[in-house]
Amino acid sequence: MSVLPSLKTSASVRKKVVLLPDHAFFVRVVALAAGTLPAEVPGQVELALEGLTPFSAAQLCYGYFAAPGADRVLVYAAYRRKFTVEDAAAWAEADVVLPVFAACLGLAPDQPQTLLVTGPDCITAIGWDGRDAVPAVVRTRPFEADAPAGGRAAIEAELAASLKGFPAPVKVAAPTESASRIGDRGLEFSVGDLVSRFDSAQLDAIDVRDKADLAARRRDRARDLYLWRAFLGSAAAIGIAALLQFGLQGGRLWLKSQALRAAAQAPAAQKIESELGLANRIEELSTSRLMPIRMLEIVNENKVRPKTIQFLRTATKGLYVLEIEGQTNVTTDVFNYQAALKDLPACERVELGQTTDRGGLTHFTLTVTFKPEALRPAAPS
Amino acid sequence: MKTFFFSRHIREKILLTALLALVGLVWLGRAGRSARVFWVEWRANAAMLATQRQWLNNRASIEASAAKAIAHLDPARTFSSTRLLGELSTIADQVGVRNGTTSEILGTELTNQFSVNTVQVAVRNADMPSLLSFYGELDKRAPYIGLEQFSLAINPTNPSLLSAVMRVSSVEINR
Repeated sequence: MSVLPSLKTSASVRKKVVLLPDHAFFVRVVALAAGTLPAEVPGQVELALEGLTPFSAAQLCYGYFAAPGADRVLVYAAYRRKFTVEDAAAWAEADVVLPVFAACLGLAPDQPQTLLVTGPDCITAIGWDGRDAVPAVVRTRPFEADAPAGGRAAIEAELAASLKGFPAPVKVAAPTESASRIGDRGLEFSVGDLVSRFDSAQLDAIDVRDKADLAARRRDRARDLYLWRAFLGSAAAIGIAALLQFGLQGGRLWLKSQALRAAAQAPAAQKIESELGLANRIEELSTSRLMPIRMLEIVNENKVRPKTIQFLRTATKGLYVLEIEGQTNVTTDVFNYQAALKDLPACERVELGQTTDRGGLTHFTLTVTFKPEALRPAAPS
Repeated sequence: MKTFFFSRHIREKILLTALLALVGLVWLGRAGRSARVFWVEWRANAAMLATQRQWLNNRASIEASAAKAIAHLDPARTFSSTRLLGELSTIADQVGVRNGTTSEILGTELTNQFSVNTVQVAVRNADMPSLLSFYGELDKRAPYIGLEQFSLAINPTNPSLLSAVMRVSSVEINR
């Protein structure tokens, strides 16, 4: 079953896979030191290559296939000069570059299996011994493009015979670049009826290009991915803003209709409100009458008001407050008067306002708040 | 789109992203401000409608309480604004302060059942007993005529004379 749907969005973006001829590579299975961590595998591979070839790792195009838990890796390498400058330039555009047989390594069977992969110019036998996902044997035999069918059959027979102890080989056509799909989660190839899969962590390992270049490409890819996400985020922000604008347009129309409704029923509501206000006023006129003369009688009592205090103006504020503007030629009498008013049982509060002294006369303002019971009108006889 | 984006040069990618981010931020900011204004208007309108709904829902009970407030009043003894002015003039005549008295209609507030008329009356240069009589006559007409505000000031040149300014209201039942 294909995992293509799980490759998500990037799977739909066709990327370039370059497959190189198997016969250009020599292949070895290298044992790993016990307890080798995954991060140490590249170093061990380079070390093994230095022992296996007369070239330094920098002069080789090499890749390897490792599997979790396996104590060996399959290493394949080719002398860099076997490939032309044009080839190398074409690789720069590719996402993965690997030999044809390496495309089949992702099959990773969990039991012994042999595969005869027939390409246009070589046949490769891959044998898994079932110990782990790493093949135990990989052998390649080239042939001329115009070689007769009998010649190919002989090569196949020879390869099959060389894999003693492995099951009978299954013949498959070599995977092609067009039969591959690559995405953010990895790479897969169709190999006959089977699917060979590699996760994204394995891609740099199986790729034969310069590992430093690959690391730089990986950094660029990560940077591009961040930029792409920022690009998408910005596009989403624009989309949200556009939706919000359209929503607000609709909302404004609705709000306008609501405002019209409020305006239409405002007179009726105000009329009811004013009716209540007036009803309360009438109630007040009947039950709570303003008693200005009684207020004046209280504040004007001889024993309370010092003789020097002269009223200039008095005014009521509401039902229970009287504001007094007065003058005196004895300043202390203002405070005496305030204190005397405070002592009256009819007064709730007495506040002294602005007080000015000019030409020997002190002008003052007193605000007297009476207790409602002190101003209650006498019951009609 | 992704293919197009990834195939661009890094400078183009940065430029495209920055441009789009700028447009997105500006537009989103503007839309956000509009949304906030809309939200404030919506809340104000909703509050107004809720208040109106409350008044309209209570119409019957308010009208009933208004009817109750005037139930004990005799419609024949209530005063229109014109009648109120006439009554105040009569009182001023009775107590002998007609010459120094001025009256002014301040306004009328109407409902379906009644109206309340407000008049400001000023009595100038009157002695205290006359003012007390005037006040007493007004008091006799309560609750058909009510005193709402009262201020009293002495005449600066003759402290034995006083000036009073009163705001007087009358109820008029519409039958």
